[in-house]
Amino acid sequence: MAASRSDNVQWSLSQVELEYYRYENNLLMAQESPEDSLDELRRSFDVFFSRIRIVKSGDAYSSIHDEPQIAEALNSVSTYLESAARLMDGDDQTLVAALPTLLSNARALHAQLRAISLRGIMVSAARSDQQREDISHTLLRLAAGTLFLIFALTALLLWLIHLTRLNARREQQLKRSSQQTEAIVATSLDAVIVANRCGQIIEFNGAAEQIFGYARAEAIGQPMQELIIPDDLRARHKGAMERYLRTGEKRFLGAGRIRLRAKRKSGAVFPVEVSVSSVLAGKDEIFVSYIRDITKSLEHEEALQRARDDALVGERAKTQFLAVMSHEMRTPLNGLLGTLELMDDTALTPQQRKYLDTMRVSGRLLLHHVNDVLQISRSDSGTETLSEAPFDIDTTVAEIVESQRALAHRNGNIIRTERIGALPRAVSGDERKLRQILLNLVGNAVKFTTDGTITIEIERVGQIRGAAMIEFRVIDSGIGIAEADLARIFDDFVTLDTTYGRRAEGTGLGLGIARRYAEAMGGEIGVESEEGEGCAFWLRVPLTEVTKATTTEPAQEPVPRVAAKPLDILIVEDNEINRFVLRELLHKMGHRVDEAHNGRDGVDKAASRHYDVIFMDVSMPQMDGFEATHAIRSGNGPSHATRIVAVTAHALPTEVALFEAAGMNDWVIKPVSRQKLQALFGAPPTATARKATGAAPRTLDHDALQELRDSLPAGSFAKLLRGFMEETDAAIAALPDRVSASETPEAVSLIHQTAGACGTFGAERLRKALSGIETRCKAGETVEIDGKLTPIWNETREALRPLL
Amino acid sequence: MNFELRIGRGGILQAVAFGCLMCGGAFAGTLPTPQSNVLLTIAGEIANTNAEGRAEFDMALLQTLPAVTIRTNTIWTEGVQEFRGVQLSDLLEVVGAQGDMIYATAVNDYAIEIPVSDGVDGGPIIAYQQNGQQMSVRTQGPLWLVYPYDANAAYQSEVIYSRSIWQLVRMDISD
Repeated sequence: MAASRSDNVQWSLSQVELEYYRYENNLLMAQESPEDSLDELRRSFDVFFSRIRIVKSGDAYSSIHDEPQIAEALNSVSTYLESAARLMDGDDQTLVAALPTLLSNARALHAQLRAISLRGIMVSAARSDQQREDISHTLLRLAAGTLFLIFALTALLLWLIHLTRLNARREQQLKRSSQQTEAIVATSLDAVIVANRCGQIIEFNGAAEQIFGYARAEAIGQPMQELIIPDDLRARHKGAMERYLRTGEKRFLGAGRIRLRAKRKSGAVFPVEVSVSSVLAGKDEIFVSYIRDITKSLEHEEALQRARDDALVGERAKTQFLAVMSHEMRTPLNGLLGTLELMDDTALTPQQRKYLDTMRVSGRLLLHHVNDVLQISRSDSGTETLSEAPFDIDTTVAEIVESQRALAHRNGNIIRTERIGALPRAVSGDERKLRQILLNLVGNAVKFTTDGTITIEIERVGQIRGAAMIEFRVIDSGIGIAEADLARIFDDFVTLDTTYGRRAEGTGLGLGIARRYAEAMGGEIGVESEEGEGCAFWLRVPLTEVTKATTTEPAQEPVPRVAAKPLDILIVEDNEINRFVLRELLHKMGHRVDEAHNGRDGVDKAASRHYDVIFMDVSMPQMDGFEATHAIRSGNGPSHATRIVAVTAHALPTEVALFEAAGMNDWVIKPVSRQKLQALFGAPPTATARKATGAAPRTLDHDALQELRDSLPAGSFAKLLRGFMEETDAAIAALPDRVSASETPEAVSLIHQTAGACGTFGAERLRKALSGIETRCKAGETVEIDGKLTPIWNETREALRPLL
Repeated sequence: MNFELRIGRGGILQAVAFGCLMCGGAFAGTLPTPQSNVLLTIAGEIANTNAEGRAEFDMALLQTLPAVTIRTNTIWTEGVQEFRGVQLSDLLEVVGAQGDMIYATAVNDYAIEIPVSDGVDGGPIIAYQQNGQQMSVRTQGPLWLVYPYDANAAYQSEVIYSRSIWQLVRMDISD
């Protein structure tokens, strides 16, 4: 635009001079022949005028107006044109007259017009320069642009190459990953079926082909529901699917392995394990199902279960067999042993007596073995139950020690009991089992130690759910056990192949039973030993602490050697041998005996007359002991309130409860021995009777007192007794209200002495009370006496007074 | 021809004839004869004439043709100018121009070639008024071929400027 404007300017400026010459020429022509040339003159003037006007006022010429020379020239020309125009517009005559002046004035303008014209050339030159510069600039810009473009294109190209490579790599990765996925899916042992939201199958792997019987091509695009879901499950599947699609609630999805049924192409329905998850593939949700055919594994599982059940049944049968066998073996054994005892009382030569002893020892050992086996089988068959009754740890341990003392003495051993720390005296638990375990441990220690020491330590080692954890340690200085044998010492039938084993006269079941009992009681048993250095067996059992008042001490009752008076006794027993043995034993003890051969007979006999005691066999054909007892008790016969003693092969806690429920007062376990009978008659009536009278020990042990009196001259007994009474009076008065081993050791010692004296003079109740206080003091307790002893002593003194 | 001439004398009739001419397009016929000074002569390849082989126009004749007003700047004037005149396209149609090229001549013998194709609707006009006044030779008149420079950037070029012939007196149409 600028260029085109300047082009035009240059043209117009150069035209100015041309138009002037035309005008000047016309002036000359008009002077020569005015008639012909005036019109032409006027027109050329107008054109010249118009040319100057354009240059003066046109927008495009404004730049040249600034130049003083041009401005001046234009002014002069304008002035001339203004005056000439008036002449041109006037009449011809005036114009012709003015022609010479117009011409001379026009010529005077020539220099200025030339300048204007030249200006056109300069504009043109400048324009060319400008153009060249513009072109050069344009070229430069073009070059720069081109260069930039090249760079940009190169960069773009490089970037494209990079992108292409990146894409190729990604594609490669994608392909690899896709191939991997495909390989994983294809080689998966589980059927993998992928379905879309409409339930159409979109992937069906090799395992799926095998399991379901459809070819991949056959399955793809088909609705999963119709292909593999059994007809009866379809509605459920459909419902679950709809619910999920509607609410997004997942039950089956992502719930892990679920056992279901599926359908093969053949229509056969089989068990499967299915795990379904939903995955977002891009925008679409797909469902991936892993399906495992568990037909085989279910079969195996069932077979395994069957095998296990069979094995369990077999094991139980074996245990049952053992239990029955050992039980059946005990009955004839009881007969044997009982008869041997009877033979003892007949006239025998010393030789025969020796044979008899040997038979008795062998018989007892055999019975012991049978009992062991019975206990094991009973424990294994699960018929063993745990009883819970209060007892005194110290008493139990003392009795065990007492029973083993003779044997220990024979082997030159000393048995000591050590109580460590504070111990609960009265506890509740299965005392029978605890006793058996400890007896076994102490018995072993005594057997395998010669001229040594056996220490029984009792210590409270912790607390477990309200029960005190008590540890019993039986430590001997005997032959010890080899380390290799330690682990299996508690196994069944282990009699170690060492001197230990050879010398052990046992089935090897003792420790096995101990372990079972310890475990049954919720405890543990173990051993530490070094060969030649002795063993330390330990037993840890939880025992519930009880308040002293609930403790009963039936085992402590002294056993009278003979019955106070002959009794009328009825034996109800179907086994002839057992009946015979019992009858003979009772006869020997001076009692009068009647016999009944079965339960019915027993009931009849009991109804016919009064008996002091009835021995009732528990298991009899037709009417058993329970029924018979019930009949006697519910009748109105003369013996309906008679003491009834159950005779049984085993007194399980559950059975004991049955005895009591049936109305039996007591029980005796076969084989019945003289000792057992003596214990039975010596003891006050137990069970119901005991409940009525309470557990308080007798004030005086008359038998003990009688023994003392028999062994002393008459005068000295009375003297001694008087001294005892005086000393005890003083002792009771001297005792403080509170005693403890640490603060009042002299009082504890006084209690000890007084208790000993009470034992000698049969002051049983006071002795017990004093012993109890002493034991608790030794355990570190502080005991409140607070006058409790005084009433006991007063009562005892009243009982003793007649003997003075 | 005579009949045409006769009715041509009446101004109204003339206008009607011209209107028909405008509407009818290419019909051969004669143009009214100018009554005063002829300002523009068109010769060459034309169908309609009012003199021997040419069409002559005085101001009155030109003013009977549809008039168009253009407002624009020019490089030769200062400020926006209002030009009024006949569209080149209309004028070419009136004379039944059949060539491709116009050879336009000014009073000072300036001459330039203008393609017939420049004659479009909304294109150049043969202006006879500038800012409401008739133009004299001294003020680039009486006829000036003016393009609407402001309306179309394509008209702001050296070629168009050179075609903007003022003091126009003659157009020769050729193939």
